Amino acid sequence: MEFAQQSRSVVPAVEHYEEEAVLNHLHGLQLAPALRDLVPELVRREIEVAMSKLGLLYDRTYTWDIFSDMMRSQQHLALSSSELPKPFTETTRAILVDWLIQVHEAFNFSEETLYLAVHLLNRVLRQIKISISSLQLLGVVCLFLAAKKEECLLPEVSELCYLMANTYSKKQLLRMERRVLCTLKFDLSHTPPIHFLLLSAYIARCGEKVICMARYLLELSLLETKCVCFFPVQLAAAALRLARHLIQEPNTPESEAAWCIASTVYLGSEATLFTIMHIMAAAAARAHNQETRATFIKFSTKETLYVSLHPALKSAPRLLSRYT
Amino acid sequence: MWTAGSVCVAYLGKRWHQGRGQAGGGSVMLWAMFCWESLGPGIHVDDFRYHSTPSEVLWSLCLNGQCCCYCCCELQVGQGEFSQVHNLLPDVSDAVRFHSCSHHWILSDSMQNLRHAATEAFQRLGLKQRHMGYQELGELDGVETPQPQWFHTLQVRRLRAQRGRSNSDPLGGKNFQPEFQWNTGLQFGTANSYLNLEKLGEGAYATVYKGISRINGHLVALKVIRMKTEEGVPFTAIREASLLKGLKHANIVLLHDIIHTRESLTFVFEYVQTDLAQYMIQHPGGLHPWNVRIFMFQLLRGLSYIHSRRILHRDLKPQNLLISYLGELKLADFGLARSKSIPCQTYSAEVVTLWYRPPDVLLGSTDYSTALDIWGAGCIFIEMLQGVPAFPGVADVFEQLVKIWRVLGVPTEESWPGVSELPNYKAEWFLHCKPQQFRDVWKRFAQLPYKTEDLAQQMLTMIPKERISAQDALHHPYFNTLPLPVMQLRDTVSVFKVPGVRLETEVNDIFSPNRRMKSFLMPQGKCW
Repeated sequence: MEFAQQSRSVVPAVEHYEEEAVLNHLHGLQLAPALRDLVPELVRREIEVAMSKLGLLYDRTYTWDIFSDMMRSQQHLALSSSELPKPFTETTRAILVDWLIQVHEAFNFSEETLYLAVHLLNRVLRQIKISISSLQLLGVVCLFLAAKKEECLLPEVSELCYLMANTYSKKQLLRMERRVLCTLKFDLSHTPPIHFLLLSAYIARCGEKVICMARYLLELSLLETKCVCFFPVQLAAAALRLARHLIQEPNTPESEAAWCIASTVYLGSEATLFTIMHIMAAAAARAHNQETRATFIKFSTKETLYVSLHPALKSAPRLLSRYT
Repeated sequence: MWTAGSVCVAYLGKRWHQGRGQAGGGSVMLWAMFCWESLGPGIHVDDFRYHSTPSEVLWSLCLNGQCCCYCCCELQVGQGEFSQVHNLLPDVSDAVRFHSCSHHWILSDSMQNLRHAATEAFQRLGLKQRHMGYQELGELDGVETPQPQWFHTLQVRRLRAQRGRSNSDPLGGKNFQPEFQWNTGLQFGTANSYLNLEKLGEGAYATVYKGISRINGHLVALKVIRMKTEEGVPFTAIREASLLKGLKHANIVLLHDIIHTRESLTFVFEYVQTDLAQYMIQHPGGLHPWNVRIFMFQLLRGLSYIHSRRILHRDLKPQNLLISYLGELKLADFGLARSKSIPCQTYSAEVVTLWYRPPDVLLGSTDYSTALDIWGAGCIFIEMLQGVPAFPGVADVFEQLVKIWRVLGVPTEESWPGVSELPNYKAEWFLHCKPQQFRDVWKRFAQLPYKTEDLAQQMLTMIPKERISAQDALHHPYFNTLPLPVMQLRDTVSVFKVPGVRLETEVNDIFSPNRRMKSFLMPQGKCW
């Protein structure tokens, strides 16, 4: 009773009951190491190898703990609804995120920083009331905080102000930083979906082009307001799956088996997965003639293997409906 | 035996008659303090900390009218300055007698009644729902209360006279609700909810004060971080806070609250009485082997917890290991800690204090892993046993390496594949040192069973990949003598909750008890 008592996390969402069951299962695994054996040996080994190859670990001993922690922590941070507070629309949010993607690229930050910044933005928008005129300031502060958490080289405050055409003073920026930190109570933890994407892609032995396509789709999902209430692992799984549909790699029995293992890195239902895939496919199909096309341009270069220009993208929604 | 059991002390703060007796904005505070001795080992101060406000606890005790309750009222004149005004006393049962020692009370036979009374009162107030019932507490009766080694240094005034009831007596009025609004106006996260008491230490980017919470009366450590006004909140502070927010473990220092104002940023930590460095100074010549085992177990438990969350401490040293009066060890100062993410950023090489730095890092490797912390823990292990640092290099990296080579031998490409490719490796270091037995270098090992030396050897392995992990070290035979339940504790439960785990008196205490008295009356080193 006193010892080894299972501490359950409180789960408010009703529709996530499946996820909850899986998470509780994982939780149990962490507490009773013997239960680990329930997970097929093959899956465990693949996850272990992938995580250490990707540098997600310091020490193989803790692979399973870290993996279950990654899976579990998503739940605390998940947002319950995708609705935006009053003055903001999906378009204003998309414009802001698109601009953040450009700023992020200009500073050469890592991908984690971008995902963290948008995650912070999503959380803060729900918790504080701000006017539409200070939305840009809020966006920059979220990126600034994400950089402070993840990056080695930080931008200067004056640089950031300059990027905003000096609309706001340094003082205003620092005041907003304080406000955001207080709202978030200094909790900046987040498991970026890109980690799950790379993990699954490594296990599935995906080709470079598929990975690049998946990264493109995942980044596009940042602009979609509907996507904010999904778990990172769901977004990552959907992006990878759609990318595999779009770029047909030659099928071999080995790759099929690897894909089977990779698709176990997921929480939730098939239906959720298809919902996200549809959102992503629609976003990808109209990306080229959108006003917000920073991601489209970013992924249309040689380094990114021209994935955003891939012809299959335009017919992606139709392609998907054939599959489902 | 109830002497000097776990003394539960709670302070009650009350914004009292606001507007009266105020000068220059300072508010009159009523600090009611009550202590009661050993309500039983089952009721721990933690029971109150999280689930009830001290006022609720106080009321539950006063309603019984038979507890040892002792209050003093203090007038806050200025910031951090107190002058005692009153002693107030509720109805105290005659059965309760005070012992002459200012810190220890020995209570009479009514102890058992007291425990009953307290438990019943809690149940009436609905405070005990989430805790053990009295029956369960009874099962633990055989457990001896752990002997506190020292107490914090707050002055406790002895009661002098029983006063008549007055309006200012928070305990006198039967109907206590209308006149007295207990401190509900104060919120977490605001600066005036805490009082600075004294400065404890100064670090590179912060100053640490001992403080007291006006909300619930707990002692706290306030880490005040200097704000670089130009660039906002320092990134070290952001990382430390966001890491600590996610860490809830009995062997990690607890972050209670964060206060953020324009000028400063303050982290409010639980107050822990001393640190391992101070403890070793107080008990020179090496610690009791049993205590070393308990400290090591807790250290490895904390490390295993953070490592399983992808966090490296990166700055292990005795000063950063806080020790409570029970002997609970807590990892602190996560200013250099970092969680791992995919782009392998090279961290600066200046991370770990030289003495506790592993040879691979000294040789310039930037490929950090959990082995970094394990080496540090191994050095601390030897320091606790031997009483002197394991590798006290004085001058520079080179001297530090030579100290290590003297014991472990100079590494060669055969004994450590890849060593010659490390940036700082120089072939002329062939002074030809042979690896030695630990027991020949550190004499204490010869007096102890072999498994002690074996664990130390596995932690201080030259090649980082071969160093034992914290999790495996916890299952090393060295810890077999600890009671078995310590292996199955929940994260947030201290090892001292397990019957049979308690500190032994240090040898130096037996011979000079006076020193011990003095040392715990003195303010201790830095604590957060």
